[in-house]
Amino acid sequence: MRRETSPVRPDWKQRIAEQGMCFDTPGRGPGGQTRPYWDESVHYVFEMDEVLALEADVELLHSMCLKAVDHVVTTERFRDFALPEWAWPAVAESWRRSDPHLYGRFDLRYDGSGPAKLLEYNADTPTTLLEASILQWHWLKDTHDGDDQWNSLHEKLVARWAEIAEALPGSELHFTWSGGDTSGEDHVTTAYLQETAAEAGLDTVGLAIEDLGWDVSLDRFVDLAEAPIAALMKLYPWEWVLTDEFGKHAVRSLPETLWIEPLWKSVLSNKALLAVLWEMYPGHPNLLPAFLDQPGILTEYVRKPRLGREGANISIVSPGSEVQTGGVYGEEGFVYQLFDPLPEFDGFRPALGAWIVGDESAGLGIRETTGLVTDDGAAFVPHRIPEG
Amino acid sequence: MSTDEEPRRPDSAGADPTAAAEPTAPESSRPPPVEPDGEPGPPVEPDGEPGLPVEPDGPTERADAADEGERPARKAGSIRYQDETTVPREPTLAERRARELATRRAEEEELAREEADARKSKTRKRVMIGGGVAVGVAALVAIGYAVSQPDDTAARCVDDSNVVVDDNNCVQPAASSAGYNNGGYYHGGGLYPIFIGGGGRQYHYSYGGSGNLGQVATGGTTVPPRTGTATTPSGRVVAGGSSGASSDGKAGSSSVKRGGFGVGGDSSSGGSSSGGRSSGG
Repeated sequence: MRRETSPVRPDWKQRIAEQGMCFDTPGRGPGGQTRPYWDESVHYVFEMDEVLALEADVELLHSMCLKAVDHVVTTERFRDFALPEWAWPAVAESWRRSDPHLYGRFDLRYDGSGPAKLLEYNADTPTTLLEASILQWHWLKDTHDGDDQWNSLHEKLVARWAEIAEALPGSELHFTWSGGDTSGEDHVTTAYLQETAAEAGLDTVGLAIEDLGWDVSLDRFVDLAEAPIAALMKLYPWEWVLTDEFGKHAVRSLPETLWIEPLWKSVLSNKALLAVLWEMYPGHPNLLPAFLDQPGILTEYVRKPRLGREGANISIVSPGSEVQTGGVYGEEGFVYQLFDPLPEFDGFRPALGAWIVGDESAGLGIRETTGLVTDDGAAFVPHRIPEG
Repeated sequence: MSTDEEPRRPDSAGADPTAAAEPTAPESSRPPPVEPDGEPGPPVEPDGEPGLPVEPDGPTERADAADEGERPARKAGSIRYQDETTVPREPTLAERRARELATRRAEEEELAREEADARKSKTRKRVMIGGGVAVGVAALVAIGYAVSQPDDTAARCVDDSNVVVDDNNCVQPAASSAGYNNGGYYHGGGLYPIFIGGGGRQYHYSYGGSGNLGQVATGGTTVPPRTGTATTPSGRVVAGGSSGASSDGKAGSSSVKRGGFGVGGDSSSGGSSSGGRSSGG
């Protein structure tokens, strides 16, 4: 793994705009300078054997996560995840029914030597999908044609939808995003997912989640045409669904309405998972020690909110130093994870976002920061695998 | 205090017998990626064979995707959108009856049901899709969000060769017919209203861009602007400018409530939130 610079495509701005990038709020570079969110002036180079090893790590982590859900459901440890008590039975049933899942993104610390370490798992509403699947692929074709990339996201999504189609009550699937996201990222990402589903033969309907209707008399969700919703893909986190006004309806609508990601993912998209994994697999090479609610034996640690996003409300405590990011999360409590700083390449710190689609590793996206926390000031940079 | 609390480094093989028993996870570390063992969990997948759960040819092939041997001739699905212009469809007779029935006994009815119709996902063979990375709808959607949208966008009525015509041609929406609803026309991944003129010719609006009557419109899009209004040369407002028309503005069923998800109970026009990458991780 190494970091390289290369000339940008002269028309890169137009290219990525044509590919759907409209949410490129600038990132932050050294000294707080702005930096393009999509930054193709640099990229990372991986050797194939590194990618193969990472891929094995990812699929192993995925299977460990599934075992962790099973453990949580079997032992009813929902309280550790701050899930509302009324939703517990439904979470368990969602798992026992094997409600189908689509995808997730593992955030990994990796420096080219030694095993990748799991920093966190975005199992419910992972973003940066378009960048990883489309933008960097076109970059590769334009600038390093003949090289390879850890990226089969598009094909795997299409294939996975074809599998999920088997479990759908009908051929129609509704896609929803939050209209409250004015950047367009959620809508564009949802549209892209919709596109992959249509390619797999599904009939798709897109609408903002705010427009979902609950038919009181018929006891079911309806779309704007008041047609019933049999299956719903949401780019909207379960923890928000559960606390929204219709949250109880959403849970009650199971399993008649199929929700993707499924409700059992609320266990995985919660950082309490990190502590549970460490309990189940102490010393595992792909894990960092992590504990619930208190740092335990750790003297250098990162404190993360159970439910937090975009690197918000993170504290890093090490001897003589404490760094903290702001935010609105933390009400549900915190998880403490061993502080293992992101590696530094030319003054920048990459975090790897490794994708799983269905149960298979499917691709990689890299976000780079100058600071220790990969937050909303991170820039997305592409990668390649040299030929031969 | 006790020393067994100190396995600070994973490899220090702590003193705690339970913890030390298996310091490194069941499947010591590498391979078995997906559980083929019939566990109660969801892995929808695993093609039972203990042999090779991972594809043998590595993760990295893409366009040149190999094993497309049995690529099923799959019909493409469709992509539709709903927004504030969507009209509730006529309820079926059964729905009307059921609604009436439900309203009558709404109070006493207890939430009861739950037929755990244990829908076991089937084990399926993996189908590898070869080839193309399409970008269609996502890019179209993105245009609507692109920064600095003007308050008013020019709307031009164009024919099916994209030549600008008099905007009187874009008045009568096509009758809802075959296949696509609401007079929509599916083209290049997007759905937009079309209008039928004399001799069955089809017209639609092109938003933004430029072009005078009789010229080919350039730089426009078929997606109406998300903010502000769109106005034709003759001054007719054909998009936007009528906020609040959503959900409650139309004669929908009284038993349908909306706005129970999301911020501010606002609908598709978008509420205000902190913006940014809100659902990322």
